Amino acid sequence: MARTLAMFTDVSLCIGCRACQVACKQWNQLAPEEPEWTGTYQNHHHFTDKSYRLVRFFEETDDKGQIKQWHMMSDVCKHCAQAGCLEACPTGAIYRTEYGTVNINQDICNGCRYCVSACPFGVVAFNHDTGTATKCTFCNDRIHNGLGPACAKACPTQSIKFGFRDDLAVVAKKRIDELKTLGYKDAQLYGEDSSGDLGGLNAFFLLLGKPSVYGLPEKPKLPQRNVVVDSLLSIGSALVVALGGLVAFRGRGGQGGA
Amino acid sequence: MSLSRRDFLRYGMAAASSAAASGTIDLSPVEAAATSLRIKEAKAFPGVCPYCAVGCAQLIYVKDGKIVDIEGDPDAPHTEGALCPKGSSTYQLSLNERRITRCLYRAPGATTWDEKPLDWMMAEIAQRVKKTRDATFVEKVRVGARDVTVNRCEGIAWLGSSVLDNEENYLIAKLSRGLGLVNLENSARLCHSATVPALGATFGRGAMTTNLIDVQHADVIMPTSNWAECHPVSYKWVMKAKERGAKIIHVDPRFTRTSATADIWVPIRSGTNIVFFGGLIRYAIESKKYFHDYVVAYTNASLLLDPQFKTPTDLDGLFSGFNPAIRSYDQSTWKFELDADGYPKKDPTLRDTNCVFQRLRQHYSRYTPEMVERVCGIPKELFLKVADIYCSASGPDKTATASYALQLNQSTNGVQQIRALCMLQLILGNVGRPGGGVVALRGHSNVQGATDFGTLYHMLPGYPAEPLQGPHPTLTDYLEKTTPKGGYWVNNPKFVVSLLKAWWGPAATKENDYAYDYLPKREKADAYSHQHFTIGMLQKKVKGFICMGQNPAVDSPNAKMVRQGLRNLEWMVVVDLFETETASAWKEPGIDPTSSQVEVFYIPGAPAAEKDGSITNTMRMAQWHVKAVEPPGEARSDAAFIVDLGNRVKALYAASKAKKDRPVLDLVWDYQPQGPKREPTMELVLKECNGYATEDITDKDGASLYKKAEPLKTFGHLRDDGSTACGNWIYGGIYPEEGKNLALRREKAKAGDYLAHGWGFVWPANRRIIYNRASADPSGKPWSEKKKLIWWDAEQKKWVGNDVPDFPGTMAPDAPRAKDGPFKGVSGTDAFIMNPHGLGQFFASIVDGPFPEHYEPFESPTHNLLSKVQNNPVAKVYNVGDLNKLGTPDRYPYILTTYRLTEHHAAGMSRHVPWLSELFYGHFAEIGPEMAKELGIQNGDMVTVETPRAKIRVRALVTERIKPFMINDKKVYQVGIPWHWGYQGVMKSARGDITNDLVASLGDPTTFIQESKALLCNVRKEA
Amino acid sequence: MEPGLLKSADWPALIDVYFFLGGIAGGAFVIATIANLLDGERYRDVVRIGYYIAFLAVTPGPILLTVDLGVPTRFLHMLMVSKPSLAIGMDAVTVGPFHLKPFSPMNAGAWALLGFSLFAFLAALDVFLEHRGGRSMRTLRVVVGVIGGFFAFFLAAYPGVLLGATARPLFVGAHWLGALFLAVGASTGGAAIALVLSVLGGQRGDALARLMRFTAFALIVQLAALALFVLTVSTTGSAGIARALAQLIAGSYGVPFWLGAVVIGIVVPLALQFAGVVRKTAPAITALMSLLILVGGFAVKYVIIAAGQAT
Repeated sequence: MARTLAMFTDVSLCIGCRACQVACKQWNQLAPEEPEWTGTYQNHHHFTDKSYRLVRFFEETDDKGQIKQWHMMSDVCKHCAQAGCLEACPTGAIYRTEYGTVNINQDICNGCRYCVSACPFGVVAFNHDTGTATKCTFCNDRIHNGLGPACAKACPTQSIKFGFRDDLAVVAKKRIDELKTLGYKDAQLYGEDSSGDLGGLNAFFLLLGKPSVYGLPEKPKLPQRNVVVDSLLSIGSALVVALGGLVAFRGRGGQGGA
Repeated sequence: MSLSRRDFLRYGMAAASSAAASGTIDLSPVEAAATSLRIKEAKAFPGVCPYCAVGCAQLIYVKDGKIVDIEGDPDAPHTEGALCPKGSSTYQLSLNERRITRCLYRAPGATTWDEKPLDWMMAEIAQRVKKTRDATFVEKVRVGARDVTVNRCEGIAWLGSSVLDNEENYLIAKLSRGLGLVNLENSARLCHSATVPALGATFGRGAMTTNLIDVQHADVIMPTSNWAECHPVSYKWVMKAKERGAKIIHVDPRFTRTSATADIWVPIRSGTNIVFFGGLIRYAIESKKYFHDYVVAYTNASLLLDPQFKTPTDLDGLFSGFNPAIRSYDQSTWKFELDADGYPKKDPTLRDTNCVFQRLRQHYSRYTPEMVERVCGIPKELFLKVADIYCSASGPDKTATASYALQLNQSTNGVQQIRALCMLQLILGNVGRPGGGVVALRGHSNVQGATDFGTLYHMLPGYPAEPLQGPHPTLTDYLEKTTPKGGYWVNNPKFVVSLLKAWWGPAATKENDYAYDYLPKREKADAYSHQHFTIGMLQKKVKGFICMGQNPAVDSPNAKMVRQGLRNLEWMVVVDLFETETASAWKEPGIDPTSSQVEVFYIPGAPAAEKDGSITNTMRMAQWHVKAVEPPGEARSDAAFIVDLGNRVKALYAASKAKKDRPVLDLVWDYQPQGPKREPTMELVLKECNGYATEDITDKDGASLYKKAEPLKTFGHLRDDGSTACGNWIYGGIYPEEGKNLALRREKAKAGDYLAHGWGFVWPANRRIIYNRASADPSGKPWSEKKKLIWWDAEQKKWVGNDVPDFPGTMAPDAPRAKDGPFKGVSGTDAFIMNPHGLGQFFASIVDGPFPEHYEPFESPTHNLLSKVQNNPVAKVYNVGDLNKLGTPDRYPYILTTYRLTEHHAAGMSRHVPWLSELFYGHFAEIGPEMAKELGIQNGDMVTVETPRAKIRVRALVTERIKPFMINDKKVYQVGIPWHWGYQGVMKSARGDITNDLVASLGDPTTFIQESKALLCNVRKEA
Repeated sequence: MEPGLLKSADWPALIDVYFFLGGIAGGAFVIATIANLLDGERYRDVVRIGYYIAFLAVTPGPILLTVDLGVPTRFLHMLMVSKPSLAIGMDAVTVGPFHLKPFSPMNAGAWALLGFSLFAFLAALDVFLEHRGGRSMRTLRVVVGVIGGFFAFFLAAYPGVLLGATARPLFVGAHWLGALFLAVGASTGGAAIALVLSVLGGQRGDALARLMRFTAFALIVQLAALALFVLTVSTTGSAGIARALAQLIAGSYGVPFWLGAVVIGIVVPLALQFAGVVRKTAPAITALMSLLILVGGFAVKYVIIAAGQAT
């Protein structure tokens, strides 16, 4: 493995312009789609197979009902160090690149959609035209050629930063300290820390409030962690059922007879 | 990026190859293709984003003759490679299924388009132009006792465009004047026309004073526009300042994406900005936070006024000299007391009750925090907090930057709202200094350039006035009346004569006053503006219309009336990329197409990526873009259309002996069309704009300065004897040598040159921050180490520093007023060299008053609390009967404000771009929860919004971001509606009712810009 | 978990059918194997019908999956690709073109389906040949039955584990889905055999009664697993999960859940069993009870999958 690459999205610098969304579409040549009514400026509720970046808008009011903050967060595939989609994938189409990013090999994907429901962030989407799962590729072609992802490049305010993960972590921590001194006491990093089920996110965020303000899970889980326990319980119940079978069919004559 | 691009490139390649060797990643064919970069073998062409006026530099990647990618140029100093969503979607302006690539013709009364050959179309158009010109041409009129040659054709209107290139606008300005057209405008009229006189009257030039890159040095930034949403890429400099600890104060009626990034949001009722700025000026004076030394040295605060001059404080809302019969001011008392030399008397102590400073103080004494609260709806405590923060960013080592856009412009007090902001910056000493300035944020890519190049009815390229028949019958009259006695405009005759030489070449001789008669003369000052001639269409006085790159059917005020005007035309030419609402006004939904007899010629145009030319961004920076690909089908550049039309009309007149046709026939029009599409050579146009010698020029010792036809190195070399020709003097130096196009320069910022003088060309003379003499104190030393920009080097005897001095380079700080020469009247401390006294002007003659005074918008929820004069007494109210009825608060109780969103642009482009159209669900109105509750409106309900002019259906977006105001102690709700939508559009979300139908036909008295920010409306939930 | 954020695989009912049939196949196979091990002669019909059902029920599996995936070759990607990547997950094993991902229940399930199909075929062939007068290879049948039995358990249980390894709010905190699906497999497998036997009639001795007793026992395990599923989900505390559970037991899925999965599928059959009705009036009541169990077994899987995907 090479040094891990990452994107660091600093929500405190985001102006919600959605350049990232369109730059992504342009570079990846993703087809347009009719938007959904979300009641805000956001154009889709979720990531779609044609929208790999999605700026989410959240209005936060104070206790008097006055607008306190209008949060805008450019959301993207987190390229988790332990990725639910990758673990779920039965075909091996979802793989980890040497840069630590998670990518879907479109030739191998068989369209089972397991990854769609296994992603703890609702990132992976199913493309009905190709019959495959799609998501942010971290601009795989660009990073293999020494360019940063299209979204980060376009971002007017450098709210989306791109680079080596360890370098970005330093930048992010410094920024948190600055924001705290400027009075943003709820500012926090999301996914920079590698503890937790997902082992850290290779697209991590600086948030100005709790993750729940942005609709993010406080402690995202890796669903595959359930496999061992669920399997043991299944084996337990298999033993019970087998035992029941042995009891039911053992011995002569009997109570159960007609 | 936290790693250098070069390092990563090397690293990335090595890692990729080792991974491939180890076989850990199996790349099947598609994947392998995916990791080969499609732009690797492509050629990159320099491009410029065609949307807003930040002018983001782009790289257009072309492979096999096809655009494969358009992204930001990472070397660009002002954008650092960024693009907003519009810029990021530029690809779809070229590659778009809705692009019209064939010529379309609509016969009078027809119900469909017909495809026609380009040649046929051009021939027909040329004939229509000739026919209508001949039918409506006025050669001479009687003015008083004399016949004046006016060479004027009022029957045709030409809408140039602030999305066309400089050269194209220049060609329009030239050809249309050659034809005698006076109805000549571009969209700058509707968005930023008030900017020019406001900034011009205050500082000397009608342009942004500073450079976007420099915004990062501000200590406080006060956007009074929706900066983050409308000019996203330039907002990076605001965010950089903020990261450094600068405070952001956002002044806006709505809580927008700009407010979301601000430290303080100041909600302000639309149309009351003068009260807010006036309140700040009063605060700065009364709390003594103004920059005293700066104000004394560099402004006209110390000049003494004629005691006859009276302000609205004296006259309850009016300045002295008002004539109610003609709703205009006699300005004879608006003047200084002069000394023996004819210069104004001065009191450097600022104590004389007749000095400008004291009169200003008296004028704004009524603009108290309490008044701000009652008029603007800004709570007093909030106002005082903001006043303290903003006014504290003043003095030797602090500066503040303020931006504005259409909130200030689009008002019947448009010029004065901007003037008030300029004066605030002036009194705080924030002009000409790093981190200071007035950031005029223009909406279209080339508003600045289109304005500079004179596709506006009232002025010629480079800002000499378009002559009026009354005062300017001859060149001598014209020059005498338009050339001041001091300041750099004393060179006006050189500019004007050189312009006439550029247009009429050998036919312009000393004997015939350089063909001055050829120039069309305006009948009066308030004719021919955009609103004026659209009403002319309605009334069938204007019969022919050429519309390029603009969509008045949606963009113009009272748009419903405008569309009827379009349908009333005899003929119309539309040159555009897509089928705009203007092009299809005859088949507007709900209208019987056969009812309109307009003959429509649709000519497919080309976006910036498909042609050569320059675009001047909002900070006066011209950037050249290079044709990356051929336009598809019959599409070609707008320049090709203009040049072709010119040639054809000239050919039609070739046999004419009539005097009235000489301006057409003598027009110099040789742009060497090349290639199958007859594309003119755009560098020739640029060279003409730059200026060249019309004959060999020698200095007084006989040494050769220029050979004939050689480009001039600077506008300083222009002459008024016909030996130089120059299409636009302010662009002098952009093409200093044959083949050297400085607009095409793309040099990265070098260390120590943060203003990046090697990137593009900034007029004038590549000065990035104008009035920068004011960055040094009167003795020539920087005001402080922290805020230094240029300073006087006594040893070298010249001005040095980080920018090109906007000042005579070797004039010492203690130099006395020059008696003669190009800098006549300028002394060593006159930082504002374009102004007649070399000073920043608090007091300046604007038709509605020398100081900005608040008047209510024509549709207002309250009476004017400052005086008994309700509305601007000299504003323009267009008389079109019921089509322009005004609403009153009893029937229209809600404030309506209109605006633009990041993701959409002027109505001709973004709604045809799928990647942009999908970003919003559709047309909507933003209303606050309280109002929604009262009306039983849920988020997402359809509502009808109504003004006396029209009603539209939109979806309600109920949001906490829209708040009611307490105006004069009464709660008033507001409604906000973006104006992008229309009946054409690529998808459902791109189509909707036209917001500008709601807007009235009103005009600021100076520039006739409409009032579309402060209206009244009613709202009903749809059953 | 924030439900608004998450996406659903939106598997169609086709997949439910596959899961249902897979459960029946596994259950029937295990019952046949146990019966065979204990007394192949005495339970001959149970063994024969059990293995037939196992084979018949598993056969549509790959077809259903292929229909869902669209392209036939795509199903193979579950097992093999031309050159598998090593960077495909926790403890993944690749051998030649094949790959096994133990933490991807879908991948493991695909292998189980393949393995089970083979053994189900062998077992069905064996009983078929014997029935047609051929000689039964007893040892082979035992070996096939025992090895196939492990696959059978796997096949019945893995869909539950698979669902449990998604981020869907209803599933992510539920650990009992594998156990539940296994129990449903056993009960529906038993019910399927019983239904056939009761329809065919003429079965010998107490085999059917013993089968019904076993089936009732499996229903009790099913009920327990279902209760434990609801209990664990309800104790995770997240608002999103609580909303999902509320949808299942009280919302739009409440009626099919309580009526279909609980009352029809478990309570009524158990009541019939314990009331002793079956003993007296078999085989019609046996057939009815079996049908109810089958309906209920499908209902419980369907309603849980539907609710999990929708919320």
